[in-house]
Amino acid sequence: MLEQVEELVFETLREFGANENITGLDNPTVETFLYGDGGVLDSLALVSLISDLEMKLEERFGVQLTLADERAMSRKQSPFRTAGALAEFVREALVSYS
Amino acid sequence: MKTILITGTRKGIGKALAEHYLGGGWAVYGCSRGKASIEHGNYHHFCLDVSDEEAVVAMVRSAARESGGIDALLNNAGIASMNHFLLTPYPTARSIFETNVFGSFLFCREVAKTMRRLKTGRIVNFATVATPLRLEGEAMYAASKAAVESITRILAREVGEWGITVNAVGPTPVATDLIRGVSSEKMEALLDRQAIRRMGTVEDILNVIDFFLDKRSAFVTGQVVYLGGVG
Repeated sequence: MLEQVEELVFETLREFGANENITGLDNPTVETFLYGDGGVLDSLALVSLISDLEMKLEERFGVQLTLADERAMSRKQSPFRTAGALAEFVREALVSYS
Repeated sequence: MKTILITGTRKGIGKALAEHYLGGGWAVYGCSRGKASIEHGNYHHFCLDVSDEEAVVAMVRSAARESGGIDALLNNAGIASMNHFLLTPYPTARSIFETNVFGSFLFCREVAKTMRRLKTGRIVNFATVATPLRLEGEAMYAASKAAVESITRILAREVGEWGITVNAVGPTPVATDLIRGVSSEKMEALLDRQAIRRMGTVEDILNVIDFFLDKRSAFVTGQVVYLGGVG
């Protein structure tokens, strides 16, 4: 399941990078830094990406998740730090949802 | 066809707003706790509690998907309760905040997400003259609407970059169920504090909303317009 979710996250990142002209998202990997020191996203871009990802999850899996929930905000390690952390967070959210 | 989402459409001002925009050729997505009271080919009703996050998310995404995009949101749903502060039950205070503040918050958040993709949109929240008038007996209602005003002003700054405007209209009392329990003496005293001493009408409210929704109002955001010369 993680591979499937990773591919969806990467796809969203590629599309988002192309739409918003953000370099560094052309070919994302689990190690791609998203937000924080060395990240390619500023805070407004992160908000937009999360919103796009929620829509993509609904289109692909038919689930209506709100990703920026208390679990995300209260973690010591931000789930938005890297593409890999984001994919793992989305996987956990999908498991909780189901 | 343009699409508008209006909360609290079963009766009162919300129903009148829905009928107005249906008459103007809009597709209207409405909601209330109870079943629909409007029958129209372009009206789509959802039974929900506006403070139920899951239901709000489902409604907004369904409306956006079906219509291709939501052009405007009117956060009309609201409740009031006339009590001396010392006699206000906690469940009443909580209920007022759940509907007025958290309901508006949820719809603003979810609709703004869909509007961001379109790079345009209009959000109109509902304030009240009870806030600037510091109306005795309406402390929790006025406080909840003060929160709505703050959300309006700050959200306007956070989503302005995406072409979304966020404003609020602050009606005076209008003859609806919301003020049914208010005595005529209290109502007269309230009207005396307005610059123009009369009850408001739905048309007064519509006039302000139409201004906010007008395509020429793309540079008007973060504003709260009170009716009746209050504020």
